[in-house]
Amino acid sequence: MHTRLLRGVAICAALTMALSACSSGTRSSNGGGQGAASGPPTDGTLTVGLLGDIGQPPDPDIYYANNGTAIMINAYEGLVQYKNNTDKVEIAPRLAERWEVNPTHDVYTFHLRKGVTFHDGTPFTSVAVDVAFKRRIAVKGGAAYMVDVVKSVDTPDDYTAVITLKQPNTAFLSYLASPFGPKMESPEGLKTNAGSDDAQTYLSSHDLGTGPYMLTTAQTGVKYELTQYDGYWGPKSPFKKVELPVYTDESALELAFDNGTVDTIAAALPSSSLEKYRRQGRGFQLLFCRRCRVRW
Amino acid sequence: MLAFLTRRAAAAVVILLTLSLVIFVLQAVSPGDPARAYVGANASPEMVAAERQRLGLNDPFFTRYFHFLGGVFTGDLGRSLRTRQSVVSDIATYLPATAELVVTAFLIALVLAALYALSGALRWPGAALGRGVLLLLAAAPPFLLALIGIIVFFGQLGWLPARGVGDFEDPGPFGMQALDTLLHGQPDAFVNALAHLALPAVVLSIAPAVAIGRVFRSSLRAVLDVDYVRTARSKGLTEFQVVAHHVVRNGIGPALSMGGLQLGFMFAGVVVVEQVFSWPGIGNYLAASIPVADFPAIAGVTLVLGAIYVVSNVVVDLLQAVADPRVTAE
Repeated sequence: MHTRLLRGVAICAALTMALSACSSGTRSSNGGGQGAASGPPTDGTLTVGLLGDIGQPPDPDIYYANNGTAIMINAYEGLVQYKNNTDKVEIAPRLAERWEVNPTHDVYTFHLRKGVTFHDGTPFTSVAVDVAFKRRIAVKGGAAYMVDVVKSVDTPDDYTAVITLKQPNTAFLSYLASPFGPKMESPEGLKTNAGSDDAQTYLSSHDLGTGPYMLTTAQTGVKYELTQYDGYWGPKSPFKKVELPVYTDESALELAFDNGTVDTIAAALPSSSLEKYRRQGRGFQLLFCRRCRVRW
Repeated sequence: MLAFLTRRAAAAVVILLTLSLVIFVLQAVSPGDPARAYVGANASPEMVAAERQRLGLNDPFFTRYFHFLGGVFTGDLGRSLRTRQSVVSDIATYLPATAELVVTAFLIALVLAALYALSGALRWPGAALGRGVLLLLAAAPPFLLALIGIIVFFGQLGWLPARGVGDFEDPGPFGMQALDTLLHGQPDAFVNALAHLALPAVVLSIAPAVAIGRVFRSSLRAVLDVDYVRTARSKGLTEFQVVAHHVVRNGIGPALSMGGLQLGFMFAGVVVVEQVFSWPGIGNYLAASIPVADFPAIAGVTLVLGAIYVVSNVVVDLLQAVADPRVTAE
């Protein structure tokens, strides 16, 4: 289980090509001509080209594929995360500021961050932890096993959650830190939009998370759009909007990247294309995931 | 007429039933596993197996087939394992975009075919070059044309877009970007939609245009030498009147049949063209369903395309009878 999660981390770093600072810096709107792609976009919108649809609804308790991980981890947040900008595997705070684990690894106490709100405006409190875990078990998605070990969630106050496991489990923090791990969803939102399927229909085109971006458009096979959430507790990115158009053809995606229509590609491009970009030497950043092969 | 339509309807039912059985058998023997797409690429093999059981994919062949048939007769084509929506609602979402593309491509093909045939039969000077270029383009497979089109018109020149139906929201009821924006009186959005439609429609239209054009041209040539045409000329009618009233109407029979056939082929070719242009239509939907073995979606789309093909052939037969009353529609 543990190595699979590490792979999950590696996969979420996906194979990304980002333009590093280049010539003019203003985005060419019509593109055209070779090498017309200029530096990072300055109009506040980042366009990420997806190769193929994300494959499942963007619901944190369902999504367990790879292409749409960027959407999930920007619209939703978990209690902890893997530390950014380091190759070492370290658990870092996210919605939980600090935590204690008892010596037998079956009671985890989380002290939650204050001042966090969900995208529907309701405040994030400890009751959301219990609701999120219960929903994940009810929906029975691919990653439901991560909370199967949970016996109970106690909430002594609004900002403390005590999670008791059925048996000792040293991987539990890794489960919570995984990009596919349980994410906090607005209990109010879940209740209002429950419908007959635990809000699965609602969450296939909206989001109830706390993350820096809100999922404003989700058209399967066409495009996804993230809009910046103004009430976010953490640092603000310069991009007000992130557009993720779905390209079903590799060559069209590469051409769109070449002429500036698309700023970033998150896809597994064939090695011949990588050679082409390396040879062009336009100052790209190629990010690879080392241990990316998922075994199944 | 009624007898004709009833016979054709009965034949259609038999054809579609056979299609569904063929698809079902192919799916049963193919190694694809839709349960994996359902739970996600990272799920463990145990989870996949459990989901297979839960989705009823381990049930015996005939149980699943008759369950599927029962659903078809009540208008329920099942639930797609990839999109988790009902297949009927998925098809309703994606079919209009394909219809828009195919109809536009077909109209362009008809125009090109008419030009090809008339310029050839009537020997317009200098048109041979145009016909030669069309022939050359038609020899290339549609996906190659599509890629060349994107490289030239999007990559190099930047004149036309390479992806999707348009940059604006679709306002209207039909799900067809160009039609809806026109009906709502949104000129910017309409022009944008036409720009997006241009490349895919032209690419899709070229091979059918040449096929129809060649058949039409040879039948026109045959009719031009016939006695009643000579009579019409000697009566003093202008060449235009002769061609328009006598030649075309008598020569159109084979072209109509070819047209119907090509329309059917177009729906097959649309799968590849939609993929290259990321056009959100039923072809792309099918192309995304096949790799994950999403059987309900594959069967639903196949049945819909089969029905379209059968209906278009009936329409062609009826049109033959209209164009030439000597032919009874049977």
